[in-house]
Amino acid sequence: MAIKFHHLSFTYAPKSPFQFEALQDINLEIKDKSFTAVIGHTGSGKSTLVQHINGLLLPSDGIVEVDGGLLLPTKTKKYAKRLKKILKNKKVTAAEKERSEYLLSVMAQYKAYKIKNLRKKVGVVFQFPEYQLFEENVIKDVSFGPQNFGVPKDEAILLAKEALTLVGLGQEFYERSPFELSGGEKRRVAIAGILALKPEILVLDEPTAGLDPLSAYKMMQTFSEIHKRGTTIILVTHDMGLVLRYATDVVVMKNGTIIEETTPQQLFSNIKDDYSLEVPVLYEVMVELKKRGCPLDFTKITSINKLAKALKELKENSK
Amino acid sequence: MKNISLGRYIPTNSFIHKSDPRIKFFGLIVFMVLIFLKFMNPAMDFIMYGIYALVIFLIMKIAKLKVFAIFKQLKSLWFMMLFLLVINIITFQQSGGTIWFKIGTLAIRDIAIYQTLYIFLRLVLMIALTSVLTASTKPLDLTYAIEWYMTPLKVIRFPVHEIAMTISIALRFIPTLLDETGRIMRAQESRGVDFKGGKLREKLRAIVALIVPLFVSALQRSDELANAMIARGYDPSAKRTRYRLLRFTWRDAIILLGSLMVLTGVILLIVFKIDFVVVVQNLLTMWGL
Repeated sequence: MAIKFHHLSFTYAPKSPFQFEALQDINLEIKDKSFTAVIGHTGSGKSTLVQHINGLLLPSDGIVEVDGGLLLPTKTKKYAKRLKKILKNKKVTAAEKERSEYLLSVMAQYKAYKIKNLRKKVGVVFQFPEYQLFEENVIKDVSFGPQNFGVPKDEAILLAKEALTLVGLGQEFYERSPFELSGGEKRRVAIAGILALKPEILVLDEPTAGLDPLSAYKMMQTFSEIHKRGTTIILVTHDMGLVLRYATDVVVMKNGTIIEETTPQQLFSNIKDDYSLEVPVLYEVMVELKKRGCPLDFTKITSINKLAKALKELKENSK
Repeated sequence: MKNISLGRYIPTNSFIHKSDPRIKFFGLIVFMVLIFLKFMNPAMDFIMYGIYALVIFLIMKIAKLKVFAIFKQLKSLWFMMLFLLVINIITFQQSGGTIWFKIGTLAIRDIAIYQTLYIFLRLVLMIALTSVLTASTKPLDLTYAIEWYMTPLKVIRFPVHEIAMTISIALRFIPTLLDETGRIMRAQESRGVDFKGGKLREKLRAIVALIVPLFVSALQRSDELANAMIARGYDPSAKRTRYRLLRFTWRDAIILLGSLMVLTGVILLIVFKIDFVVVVQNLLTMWGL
């Protein structure tokens, strides 16, 4: 399922003393079945952007297109009227008219989504998702989501069990209270709650924040497995190691705009100072090795294991 | 939740912002008392509410606050007004007063409409006043003011500082809890919870899905905060000094005098039973109009 943002803008608390323009004229396409990382400073608009994908936030202006369905700022007729009014206004610039015409053409092609239908397709794992747990036991909490989408209770429990297995929690956890669990276990239960919905797109907003390195690694491996099964994954993160290791595409954001769309390898090979991003240690090691004459293929090496394997191959070939 | 600005501090460099929080608090109490005073007749009451609204509007302008933005936050009160009206209509079925009109067997009496308007206007005026205070005073300064007013209670060993500290922490955590509520709501919405629609059973379930995590997180936060305070050697009974001392200035004198003058004026209106409608009628007769 491809995701397209057409001239998306978003303002928090409009017409209030706390008005804040979080996104400005975003145009972006996230490819189907990709693992896209969204990176940038705190406050650059990453979380705001991804919350538009399942309609948790609706655009202030512009359109979000998910799998041929649209998310609009208001009702279709009202928004079309607003755009047509811009076209008729003589004081408006040619660029603005062109933009309105383009948005009307997008609206002519597809229909607007019913939010609940979209939310079934797009799962969102928030930062510290364990704060959303509330049921008396784990299995009830994980099956809560599917039941909200009309899945019968028995079927929802089966989905919950499947999701719990996927995140590495066995049946000994089913009847336990989520509040008795450790931090890492709570996080896995919360993520299972989203996975039980079987989303076609999974949005991960800093899912490993606050986890120990081993738990974070295991969690990312789970997401990698889900990606391999054909789910489109969008990862918001500050961890460049994760970007290098898992992402197929990268979107760099700054002050509510997109400043670069690229691949991890291209990003790290030509990182700009004003991005203030830390190049992963693994990548720095590879650059140093290349400088010293090792002919490494940067596009294929995304982990220490793969680097070790490549070095071993080089050594064997040189013999 | 980010759209809620009611009760939040809005920094501007106004006369009101620079004034002493103790005097602003005093002004608030004076106006609150005025709002609850009754006059000669309903017409006089509503004229006075109009005057109070004008005064509050002027204060908002002096404080450089966006009047519309604050009143926009009050839109949910319309539902409450409707609810109050229904209750009053039912309550005053057998009472005196004039019947204005009838809906089926229900008699709509003037007293029911007046009562609803009284409560609604008082509420709007009180919220607007409190908004001016909170928008123009930092939460910590407000706590200083409360603590200062409670100082005499120290004589009877009332824990003034502890109460003030509790209020200050509660105020400081309002935006945090609002953000947290928004975060939990979004997380639950992505699991299919519908906070806006649904049947009563679904609504109750949605509330549980919001309240339980909110309480868990609030309790966890309070625990962490208490531990952090203990770790930094906080002793509630210790004698404290202040980094920023509050001083009475000419601005405060103006606010104090203004509040006292308004209070005196209104008391005189009540004592001498002055009715503006009669006054205007007499003046018109005097001028032969």
